[in-house]
Amino acid sequence: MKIFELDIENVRGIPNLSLRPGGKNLVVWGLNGSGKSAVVDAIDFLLTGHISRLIGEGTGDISLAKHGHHILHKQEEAMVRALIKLDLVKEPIEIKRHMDKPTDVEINCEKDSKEFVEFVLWNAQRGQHVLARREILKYIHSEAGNRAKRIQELLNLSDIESIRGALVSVKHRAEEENRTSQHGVKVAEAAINQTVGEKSFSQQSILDYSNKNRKTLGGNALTKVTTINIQKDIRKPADSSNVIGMNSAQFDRVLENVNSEISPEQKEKRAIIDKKLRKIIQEIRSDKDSLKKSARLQLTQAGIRLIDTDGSCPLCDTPWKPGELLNYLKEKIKKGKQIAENNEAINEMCNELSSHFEQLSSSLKTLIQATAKIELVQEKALLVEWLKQLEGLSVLINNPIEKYPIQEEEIDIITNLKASKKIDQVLVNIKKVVKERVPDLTPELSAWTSLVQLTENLKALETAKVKLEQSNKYLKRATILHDSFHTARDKIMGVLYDTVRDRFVELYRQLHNEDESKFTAVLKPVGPALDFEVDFYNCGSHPPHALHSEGHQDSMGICLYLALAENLNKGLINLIILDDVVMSVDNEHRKKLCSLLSTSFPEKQFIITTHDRTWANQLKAEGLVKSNELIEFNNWNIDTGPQVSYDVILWDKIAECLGKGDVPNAAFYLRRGLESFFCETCDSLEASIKYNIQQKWELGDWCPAVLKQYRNLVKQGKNAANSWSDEEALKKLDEREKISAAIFETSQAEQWNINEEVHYNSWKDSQKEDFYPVVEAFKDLCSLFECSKCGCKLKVVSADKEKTNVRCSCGNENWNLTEKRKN
Amino acid sequence: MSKEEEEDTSKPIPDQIFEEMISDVRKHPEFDTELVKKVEKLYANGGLQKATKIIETIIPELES
Repeated sequence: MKIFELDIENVRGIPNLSLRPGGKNLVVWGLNGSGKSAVVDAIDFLLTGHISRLIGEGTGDISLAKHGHHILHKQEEAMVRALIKLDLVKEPIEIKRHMDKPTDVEINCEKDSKEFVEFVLWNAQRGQHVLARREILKYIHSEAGNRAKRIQELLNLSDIESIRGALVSVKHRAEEENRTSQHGVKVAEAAINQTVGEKSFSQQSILDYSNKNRKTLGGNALTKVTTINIQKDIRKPADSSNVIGMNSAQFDRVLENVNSEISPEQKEKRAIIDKKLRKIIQEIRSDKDSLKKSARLQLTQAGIRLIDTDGSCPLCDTPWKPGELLNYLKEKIKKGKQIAENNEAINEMCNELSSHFEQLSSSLKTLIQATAKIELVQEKALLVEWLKQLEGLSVLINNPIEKYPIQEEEIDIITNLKASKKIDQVLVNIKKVVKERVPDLTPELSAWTSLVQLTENLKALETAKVKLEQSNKYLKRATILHDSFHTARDKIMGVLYDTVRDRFVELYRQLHNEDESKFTAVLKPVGPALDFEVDFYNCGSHPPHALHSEGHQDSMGICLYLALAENLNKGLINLIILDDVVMSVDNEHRKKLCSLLSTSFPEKQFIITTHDRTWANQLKAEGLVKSNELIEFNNWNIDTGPQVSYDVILWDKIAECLGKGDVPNAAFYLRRGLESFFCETCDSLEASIKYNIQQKWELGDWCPAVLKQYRNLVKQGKNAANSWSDEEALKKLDEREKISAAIFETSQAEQWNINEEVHYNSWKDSQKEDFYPVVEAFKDLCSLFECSKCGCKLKVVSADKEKTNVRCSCGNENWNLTEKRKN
Repeated sequence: MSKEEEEDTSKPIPDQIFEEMISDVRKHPEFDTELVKKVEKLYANGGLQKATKIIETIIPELES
């Protein structure tokens, strides 16, 4: 895709602007605040529906709806239109987007092409075509862990990170669920062990226990026990348990549990635990930092269990190299060893207390039901109140560091478990009434009750196993998706990064061949992170911002971007927008960058903005743009936006001034324009000027030096043509010599080195009619150093430090400087 | 590079990753053809731009 026409209405700082790049490169230059970045914003909006500068980090309350349109106009008045051409579509296509409907793009093209155009625009939506300096810094300066993320952001590949984050979260969720399910199975097995009276779980114990009880009830022995056959062919014996909802043996066990928890032995054990807990918790609470450290440590310990296999942070999904985060957290835990030990002790003691609380609460609930059935109203009320108090205590020991009771007046709370002083008497009363109403168990009833209990336990185990099976399946699928994604990502991104690295190295070597011709780089994904290191003058690989200068870093950023963009667009979008990207690059390397852009990316359309006039002129001098493709923005104001001047070479400006009779201004522009022109021509023709320590030169230095060098080059060309007997070349150079001698004479350019000010003053003090011929003479003079066909400056080409040719970018001008060797 | 490979590399990177992932997922018996089709359909309708949404939609399928 290339842009042929661009119309901007009321976007950012531009009220109205029409540009006609015609599919060619375009350079927009202007001082800061001249409105040039609004052109980038407008193209960005047209292709993506958003403006990159208004989104992302640090943009806070800024939005497209509020700040995308011109401040003096309404959102619905803002629009961007372009006429574009695609490689595979013959006819030009008109696309248009309005600010009040940013998601809708109007496409006017042949019906048959519409699907393809939509596909290209869908690709363009990713915004890969814009590079601004802030993006360069992002991925040159990023830590390895964030570099992949940064590059993905730059190239709008954040989907990859987004889906990775989602898959990691899914896997974590599946692992958590799987752990819970495994715990559920263990709890169900423990309940069975308690019922059958064994310490460890085994099918044989269940079988033996079942057959023993079945035998009491006259049933056959089973070879395998299931919830379906355990009660097969046996009948429930006569039962009196409906009086209180359980038989006397069960009731005795419940009562025994309660009595045991409030026995002096248990109280003593709790008192010891309580004392230890108070001491540790008191110490922690007296040190505020310790509380913080303790909370952090708990978070760290929880975090370690959740670290993903690729090493990423489970909390924020930030990528880490495998094992790095684990080691980091382990080190953190090691440092807080005392805190860790305290935390561990607190957890252990609280867990013990908690298990007793739960057991007592469970027994109390059963007793409350029994007292309700035999209508022991007062006893029931007392038990209900006790249970409530116990539940309150459970809350305290679940968060001991903050809530555990440590005040003097609270000293008995844990030891006595808030039991009423009347509790012993109440339990005796309940037992007495129950004994009167519920007869002792018969062996048959005992066997039946045991089998019923075991059946319930087995059902619970079955349910827990089904849940575990489901969670295993879920975890397996989540792991497959997670692993497949990571493998696929590493493979695809690995191939991409290898290709990009090679191209990056090639481009960077072209820019810095004078001293880094053996430059190499490492661009390697490590898990979700991206290692990026570059060679520093054969002294090993280092991060790009470790040793290289800012200018080199900018060069690397541009080369890396160009290499990435080339690999990701694959000819669909031939547009690259470079928004002020060479701020730290020196003149010499800017010049090489011009050549790199035109020679390595001839198929691309570059739209380049810059606040630097020299760089703008270099882009022209090196042939990346012609005069009419170089646009100057100046005199921006809020009502009219930027004032646009095409062709900064300034002949039009001079003509405009003379048209108004303003000779002093025309003289000023001519002097400044010639200074710029001859400075660049000195460079392109490799003319020598006298060195001065202030490094300050003027037209009087540059102009005569250029003329002298030009004469030498023509002479050298003629000698070469003579040696090769190239009559045609000789004729052309003779002609050139004759014309140039006349022009030199008319312009009196060489006299500038005698007295610059006198010369200049004579210009600005002259009349309009007298100044016209001066302008024309210098216009002719300048034309000597440019190609009449492509408009580019003539340039000396060297090989092995020997000047071989003088040529322009298109090759229309090409003089050989090398003489034929004499035998 | 063959024409097929060239076509492959001209696809957006997220698409390439997704297709590679699906081709690996197919090899696992835990994902039947129908489930893979559902995932592909979700992707075709939304692209990876809606990655999180897709994953959230896939999860109930995984849990069932």
